[in-house]
Amino acid sequence: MKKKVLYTLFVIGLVMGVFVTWQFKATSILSGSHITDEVEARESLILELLEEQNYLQARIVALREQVDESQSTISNQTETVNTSILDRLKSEIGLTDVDGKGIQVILDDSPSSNRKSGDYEDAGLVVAADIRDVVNALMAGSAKAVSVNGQRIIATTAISSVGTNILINNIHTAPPFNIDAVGDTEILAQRILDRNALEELYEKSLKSRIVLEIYLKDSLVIPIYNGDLKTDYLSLIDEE
Amino acid sequence: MKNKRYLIGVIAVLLGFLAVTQIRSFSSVDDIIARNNQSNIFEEIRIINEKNAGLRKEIGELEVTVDKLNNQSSALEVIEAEIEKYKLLNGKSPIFGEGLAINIQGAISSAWMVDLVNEFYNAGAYAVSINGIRIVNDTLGFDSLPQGQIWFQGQILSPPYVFNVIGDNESILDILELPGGIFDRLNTTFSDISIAAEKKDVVQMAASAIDEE
Repeated sequence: MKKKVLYTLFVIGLVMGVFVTWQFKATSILSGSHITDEVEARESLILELLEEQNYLQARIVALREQVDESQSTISNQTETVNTSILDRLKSEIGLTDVDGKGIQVILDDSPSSNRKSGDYEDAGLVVAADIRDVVNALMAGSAKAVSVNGQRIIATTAISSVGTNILINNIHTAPPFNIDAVGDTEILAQRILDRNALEELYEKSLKSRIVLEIYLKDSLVIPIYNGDLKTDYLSLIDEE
Repeated sequence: MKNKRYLIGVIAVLLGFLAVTQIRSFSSVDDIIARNNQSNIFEEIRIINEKNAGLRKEIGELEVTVDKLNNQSSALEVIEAEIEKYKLLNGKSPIFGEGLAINIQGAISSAWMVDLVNEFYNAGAYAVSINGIRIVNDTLGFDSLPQGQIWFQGQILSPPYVFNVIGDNESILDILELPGGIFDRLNTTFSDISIAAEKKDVVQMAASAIDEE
């Protein structure tokens, strides 16, 4: 009998050992100096690139303003130039501000989560899919224009996770994520409050305590797209 | 002897706790990472570097545009060129270019449809259409219907889903087919689908059917 008990204890101890090892193995990547070095190196390099990115974006906005002013001057001076077609096209591709009533959705990491730890498995972090789902719901609600932390969402916008960082239009952005949409406030609110359509997000909000706040706004301004417009691979089909 | 039984009880409880914690942590991790493409630090730096190069190029082009607009003889020409460029992007004119034709047999959810389209652009797509509908700024989002179908631009999207993608077909396909990439994750999530991608010298897209207000 004694032997049997000891044997049982031994087996249980062995299994427990396996589980303990498994558990420690799953989390061990967060400790250790290698990951700290990597995070520090990443932060300093990324910071440099982001500073450049901010400057370049601001320069693009300033140059587009100059282009607009020059075109408007030419249009006023010359009868042969009608810039209304150009203005319409610019509006269609996101090169004009959009203002009006709308909705603001704020997504933020759970207070107990730390994005800087580099642990992309942390369920309390807002991930790109959460932002994509909100933007998609707003677009499904016929939003006239949407922006995330001031980045205008256009047809070719990609919202992606890179490690724990989030890129919108390949521009680095950090939480809290302010998602603004101009459109019919009631329809937009219905879309965002639809727990079936945003099931994953509401579940995360409940279980992992990520922050989800919704505000109706009488006035919102969605800025112009401040990135590059690439057309190298595109050609018009002659309709004549 | 009694002490030993208590000990076994405590160990069993501890074991159960560990097992449940482990299983829960794995299932929640799976939920999170399935829809998110996790790249490493080098990928992140590559993307931001490329983006900055794109922004610098755009600045160069805009500076040339400003210069030409200030010169009366070239101003008209610049405005015409801008109109042509924006027509390529607004979706109201038919376009063509090198690209990919991707065919997905079998149904996927609207959330994954959002992710897939996102990944096309992330991989460098210039234009995308789904079952003949080109995605433009005015395109509405994807909606789920009660039966699980996808509602898109006033119609039900039924499989097979045919995606046309314009862009550098070599590099886009490389990214889509990466281990752990979007095709991999779709195949893992929807076991009964099949994905076929074909490089094309010419992909055509019709003008978007969205009415202007």
